[in-house]
Amino acid sequence: MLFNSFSFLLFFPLVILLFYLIRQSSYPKLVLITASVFFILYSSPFSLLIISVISILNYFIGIQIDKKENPDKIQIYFILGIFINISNLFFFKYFNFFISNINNLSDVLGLIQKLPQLNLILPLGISFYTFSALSYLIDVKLENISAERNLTSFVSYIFFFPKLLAGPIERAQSFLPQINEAKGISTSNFSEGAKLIIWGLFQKLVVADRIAIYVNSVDPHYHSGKTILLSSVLYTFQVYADFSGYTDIARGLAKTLGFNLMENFKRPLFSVSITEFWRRWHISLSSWVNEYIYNPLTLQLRDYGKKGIILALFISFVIVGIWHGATWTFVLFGIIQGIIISIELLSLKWRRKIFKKTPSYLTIILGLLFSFSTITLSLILFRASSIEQASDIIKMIFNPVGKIYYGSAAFILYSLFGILIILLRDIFVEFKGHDIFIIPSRFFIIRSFLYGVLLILIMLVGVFDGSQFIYFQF
Amino acid sequence: MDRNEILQELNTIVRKVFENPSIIVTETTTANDIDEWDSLNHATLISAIEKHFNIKFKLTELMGFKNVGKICDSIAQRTIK
Repeated sequence: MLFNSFSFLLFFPLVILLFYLIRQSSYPKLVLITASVFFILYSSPFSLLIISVISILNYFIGIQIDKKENPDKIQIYFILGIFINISNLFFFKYFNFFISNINNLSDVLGLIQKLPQLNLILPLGISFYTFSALSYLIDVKLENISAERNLTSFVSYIFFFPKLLAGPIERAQSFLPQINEAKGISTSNFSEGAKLIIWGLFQKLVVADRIAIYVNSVDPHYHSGKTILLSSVLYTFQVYADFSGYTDIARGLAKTLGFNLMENFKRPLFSVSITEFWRRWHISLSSWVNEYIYNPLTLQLRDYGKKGIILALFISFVIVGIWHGATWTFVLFGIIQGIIISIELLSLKWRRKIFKKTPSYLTIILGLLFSFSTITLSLILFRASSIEQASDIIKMIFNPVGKIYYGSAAFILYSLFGILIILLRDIFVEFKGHDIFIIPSRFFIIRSFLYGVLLILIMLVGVFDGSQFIYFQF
Repeated sequence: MDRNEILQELNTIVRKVFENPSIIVTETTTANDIDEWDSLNHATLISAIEKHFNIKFKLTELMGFKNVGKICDSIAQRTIK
């Protein structure tokens, strides 16, 4: 069930109504679980089976780890828990990729025997809830949190439908206490949540989906290098508006029910380096990888100095890349990020020396241009069907000849207008420190006017074709 | 070696690793308090501490180092008899 679908428009008010009517202590969790179960069942009953088994296993293993009895026993349960989560994700997401690479290798070696691929359905949200479950077990093992003893609370955490399909990858530490203290609907939460939803819908329906019409119509076989360059630049804005829009809708839905989901984006297009970009983009994933993979690896490899850090960076970013999907394009995406961030890390000292002698506006402009163009080129790997295709597209971009195709005049106007509003809002938050669309304005009339404009724009310019969010495929 | 001496020696190591002689660390100092304390320098710092005190921290211990005080705790456990 997509957030921008008609069925969700019927489903969510019903959840709010139930949540409002049933306010007694333990019932909110039951309403949440029932709503989440219906949400998953509606799209994929099979996914419900997998997420249920994984939740129950993690719940029991968490308790066993937290018993603090025999260290050997704790270690066995911990390894078992990590193994179950990773093998579940590997089987559904990476098994066929693994087999097809073994078969390719067999071809090279001249072996006739081929391994069969399986007809697998990717369970909903598997990449997101697997990471939540892994961090839960690691935090219990490190005694950062206690294991959750209440099964309905734990299931509510893993199943929670606003974050199920594409995150944020919420940590147990911040989300489980909210589940256990769920108080139901309040006017202020409802109002703040509604604002986030409207802003999210604007980003998705008005900006991302409108740009998508153009980007999808561009074909590297028929269009010129200039056109490919324009569509690649627009695709960067599309991915940002799509994923940030999704996250704001998810955060808004959670907020109306009284729950806070973490911020996933902090104006990533204002980054002046790729290192900074990954601190501002998909924060729930990048901070997860930082905390549970990169930091432990750098500590484990501490005696190898800079070589150890570089190796840790590479492993972390290959994981970030392959987390997005089981293809070589995503592996390469991760490797490229790893290379650039390693160079940024190693050159930090002399860059600081140079920056001291350069006007700050110049370093900022150059940094912004470098980051935007690097991300735009990297995102080509998100769309390309193969590394060869991505390489052809990049060659065309660096040879921008031929006539440029704009689509229709209306397209250019609407897209630029949408991008401008998103950038203006980001500038406002970055430099003024508060959000004109989210934080309540002191003036009721101004606030109402802004939301009225956004709603009218969604109705007039929004694309209502029920298109999927880009990050749902991950 | 008492806890104060450990803190003093830690201060010397921190100044050397971060190449900044003006740094003063206390038990409550965290990585956020010192500009130079990034992930690269953190790994170098831990390695330097281990060499200086001739000890080896466990990974689970390292993951729990939220401030300088926690590092002192782990060193004290091994060096104060």
